[in-house]
Amino acid sequence: MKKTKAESLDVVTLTVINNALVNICREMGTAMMRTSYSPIFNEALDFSCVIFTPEGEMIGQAEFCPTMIGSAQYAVKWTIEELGLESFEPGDVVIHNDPYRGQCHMPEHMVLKPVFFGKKLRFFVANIAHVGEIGGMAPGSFAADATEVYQEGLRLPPIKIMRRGDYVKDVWKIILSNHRTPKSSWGDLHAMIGSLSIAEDRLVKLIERYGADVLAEAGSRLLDYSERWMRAEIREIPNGVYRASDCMEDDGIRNEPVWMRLNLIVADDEIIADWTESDPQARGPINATFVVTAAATYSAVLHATNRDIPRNSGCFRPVRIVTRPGTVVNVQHPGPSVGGNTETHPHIQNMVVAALSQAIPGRTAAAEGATACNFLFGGLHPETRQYYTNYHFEGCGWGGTASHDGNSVMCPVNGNCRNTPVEVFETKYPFLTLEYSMRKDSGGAGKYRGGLGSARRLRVMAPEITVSALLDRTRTHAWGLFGGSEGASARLLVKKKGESDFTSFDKAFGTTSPTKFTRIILREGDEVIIESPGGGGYLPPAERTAEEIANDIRQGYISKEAARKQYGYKG
Amino acid sequence: MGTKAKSHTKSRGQWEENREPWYDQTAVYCDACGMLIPNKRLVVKSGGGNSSKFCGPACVQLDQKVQQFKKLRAAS
Repeated sequence: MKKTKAESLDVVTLTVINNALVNICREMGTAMMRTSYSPIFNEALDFSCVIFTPEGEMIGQAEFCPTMIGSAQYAVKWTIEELGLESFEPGDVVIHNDPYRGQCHMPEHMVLKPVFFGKKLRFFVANIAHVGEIGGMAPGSFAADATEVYQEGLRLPPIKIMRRGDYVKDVWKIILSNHRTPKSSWGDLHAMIGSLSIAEDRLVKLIERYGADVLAEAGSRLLDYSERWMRAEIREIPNGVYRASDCMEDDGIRNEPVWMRLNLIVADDEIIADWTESDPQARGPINATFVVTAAATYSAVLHATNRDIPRNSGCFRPVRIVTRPGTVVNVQHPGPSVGGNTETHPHIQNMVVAALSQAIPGRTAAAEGATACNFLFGGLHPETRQYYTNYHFEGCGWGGTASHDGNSVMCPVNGNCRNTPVEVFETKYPFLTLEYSMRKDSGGAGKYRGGLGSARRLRVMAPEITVSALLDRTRTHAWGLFGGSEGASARLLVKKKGESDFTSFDKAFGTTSPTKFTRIILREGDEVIIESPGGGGYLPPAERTAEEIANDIRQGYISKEAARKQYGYKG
Repeated sequence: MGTKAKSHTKSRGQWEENREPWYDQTAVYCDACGMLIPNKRLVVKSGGGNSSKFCGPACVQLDQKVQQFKKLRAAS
């Protein structure tokens, strides 16, 4: 019997289709970058673009934000299940940011559009992006001392904002009247929706070229191929139960640590990440949603396995997550979770890597800084007289690996975002940047040194700016591996105008936590220092060559004193 | 959910749809993975009239594996 076109799909065509799907997602990202209003979109690229089958399987994604790619698995499937496949019509767009229904945290908004060919729904295209301001108790919607989700902004279950290509104006009015900077939200949401239209157009062209059945078969085969490859990779990891634990140093409400505990079970071709021994959910917003824990676990496994495995739902099938609702790794309503996505996520990811390092040491890394050093601010701009807000974050040092020094001043592993250039920052916001540099001696010593954190000093140039912050790893450190040293902690300091010394925010303003607080008013001339943490070192410092140490000194990465003390350098 | 491992065995239990009215905000969590279940759940009856709710067959298998590991761990 003659095979159909779909049945006779060859490897070359399969590869071409896979690359086409990935490229559509990349093009979506470029469209968002070029058409959005906010720096968090067009500079930081804090978004992800994905393509799904009607059954809710991810078959295409590009190299954007790992946390969102992991969460898209759940958010899209959830949306389809809650609304029902039959409810989608051509031209519909659904919006969704509910952290209890498959989202990472409230600022992360997903927009999703069905792609029809003829009368049949063939794909879903979606993107998830961090909308910079969504209301709530603090400008920038990052309330470090929130105790419930209602203080974190406007929560949207999966609902349509476009129906058959028309605005659902009632929904838009509710959204825009609850955001502090509705003009930015309007522009950014349209950038997101516009990128969906581009993807829709490209997918229709792809169907016209190959046929819908061939594409459906290709999607199915790509999913199975990724699953097989991932299972083969996991089979290479010795069976066993590997443990790791780490803490968030405080939750912004109570000044005590909150612990996460992992039993990582490797059983033949499957990994089960059992998080059930973790602490109950915190009162403050450092709780991770279920999908954050899942995304962090996936991200760690992807870091330790072959980088060429196609990143689709198939490669996540052999990785299972076990949590208890109501814990710091699976927040229950109405627990807050905004910091769980930026702070707790990299801790969780680091813990999985630490557990895997017991089994496959050569494929893992020492801990990274694991804080985005979230610094939020807003107010009335003295020049434009317009209300503005900004979500600012820093890069940190990554851990050394079995073959390389850790990267310096990189967004934590969960984000993969870019920094915002000083020129853009100063043009848009009334801060003067007095210093932006790499922090000497912040990387943990080791044969492979931990990456360096950054130091930034800002001066307030407006009559007042309301600031909030959410940083971790200010009292704990990124750990080293196999004899490597830990990295330097983060610091957040303030100096009021006329004072000579910098001090912590708890001393200056009486906040409960020195680094997790909201709505502190800084005045013109006040200054802030944000120092991000360094990564841990890998293998003993004594194994680093004298040439490499000399180069570190020349480049300003380490001081002569540290070279002598930590490395025993004699030069 | 989409990321769950493919089920290769027919699972016992019965699918139940969420019958709460649309305005009800009651949450039902999977007894294996801990995730909030959007709509349909697989209900598996165990001894003593108890029942467990799962996202699907893959989570039933996951629960069995985890219980097995916990028993082994307790025994050791």
